Amino acid sequence: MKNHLFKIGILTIACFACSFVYSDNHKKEYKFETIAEGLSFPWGIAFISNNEILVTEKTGKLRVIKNGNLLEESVSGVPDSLFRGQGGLEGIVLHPNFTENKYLYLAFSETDPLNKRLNTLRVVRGKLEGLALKEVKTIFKASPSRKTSNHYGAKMVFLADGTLLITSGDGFSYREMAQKLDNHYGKVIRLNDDGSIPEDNPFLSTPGAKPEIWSYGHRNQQGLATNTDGSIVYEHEHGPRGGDELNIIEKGKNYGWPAITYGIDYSGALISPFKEKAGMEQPIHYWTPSIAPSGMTFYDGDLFAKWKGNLFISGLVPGDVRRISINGNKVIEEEILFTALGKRIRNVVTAPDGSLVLATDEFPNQLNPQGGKLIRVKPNK
Amino acid sequence: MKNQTKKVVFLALSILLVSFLVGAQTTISNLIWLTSIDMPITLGVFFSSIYHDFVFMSLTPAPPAPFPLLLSIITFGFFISFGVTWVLLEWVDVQKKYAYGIAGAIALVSIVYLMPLIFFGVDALAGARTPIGKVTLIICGYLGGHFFGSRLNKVEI
Repeated sequence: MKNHLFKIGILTIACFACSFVYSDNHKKEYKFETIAEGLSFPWGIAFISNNEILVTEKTGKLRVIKNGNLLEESVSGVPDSLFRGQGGLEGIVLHPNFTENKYLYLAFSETDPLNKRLNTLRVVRGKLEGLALKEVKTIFKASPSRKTSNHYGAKMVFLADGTLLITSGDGFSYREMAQKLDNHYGKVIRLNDDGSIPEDNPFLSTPGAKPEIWSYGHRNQQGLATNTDGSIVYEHEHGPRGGDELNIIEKGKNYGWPAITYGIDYSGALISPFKEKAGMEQPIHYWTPSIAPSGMTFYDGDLFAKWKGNLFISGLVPGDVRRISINGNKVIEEEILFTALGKRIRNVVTAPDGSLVLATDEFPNQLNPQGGKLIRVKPNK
Repeated sequence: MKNQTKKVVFLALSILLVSFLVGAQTTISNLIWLTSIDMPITLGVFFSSIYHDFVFMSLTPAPPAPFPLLLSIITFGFFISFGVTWVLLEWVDVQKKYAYGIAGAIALVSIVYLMPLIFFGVDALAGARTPIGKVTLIICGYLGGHFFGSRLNKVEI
């Protein structure tokens, strides 16, 4: 009798254990795989192929992950960047014809060579040859330089016509300049792939305006992505206390910052009592309280078929990713994902195989020797 | 005892006064800029903005801080500068309204110039971003101190 009870007890425990594992697997439609760790504030991610990934570290190095291994040697020839505040080596994008010309673009903050107290956002193009960046050429420098080391923007995306969009943030203390066209604060910039100015930029003939400007009235835009055919440009930007925005960027338009906003200043003060004005664009979605949106990808992969056509936006403050379902210019659904990681998420990108890849906003130290990670999200099959 | 209570009330009032003035300075500097780009600033918008900024800067917690940030910083600054002034007045013969006025101004100088060190190199008070803004805020500090000093004189007479 005792023997029977013991067997029933063991069987019951085993059933509970199995049901727990089964239930957990059944609920989750995805799983996490660590691609690399030991990164120092990973920021920008670019895929040469599914197994060869370039990652910028905010501290200044361009790292390579090959076949699941983070190479000890970083890419040489990368210009020195200013790692301070919110600045460092940040955005990266490959030329649309990278396989032929090997060009890549880096966006970073750097000290102004003419005045060491100032700094600015700089974008360079270079040719990747093995583990060396060669023929490095500056294609953009935000003007004027700034005293603050905040709000650089530094995201880039190529449009279908081969031109490059670059986000240039408002520098925090220079927010009013986002409404003027004679500077690069709070702007989206559009250039040809060699840094020249496209002939159809909107303010070419506006007296006093910087000809590189594509749109203006932005704050700190750290998400930039296009849909599959490149006809729609999505951008998100950090608000202050509340008022993070998701926008659709169009040529020559004014997105309102700081004349209209859904956020208030960190001090509690109003930045503007207005939320809308004729001639200023409204976001298609905004977040109050802030999620601190840090990266965005338009999902057109095949691994998560039901998520095709959705936007994925990483958030630093809640440490999650928002799946945004859109229909035309309207957001119809928002789902919070990947909270199980419990980390500030710096970026989210779509890999060539259709998996999602996340970067955690960390660096190696005594408390966290593993540092920043790249994590792949795959269907749990 | 009654005088001591009055002094505490006047100290609290002077802190509130400066907090209000600093908030109003921020509001007005924002509204001046908004006017310059043709945003419709009516009297209603003006007064509601002043009210909003006083309530949200001085009386409402500013996350992640669980307390009103501006009011707390001004209180801290005034406690130090008024404390030093109280000690100095044992030896220096200056009218209290001027002594505490200068103390209030020094407190605001410290706040305006030290805040960027705490807040990642940026001016957390938008009104402090320009030289004229900084001067105006320091004057606000002087007015608060002057108010406190002049009330003290009356209590002691």
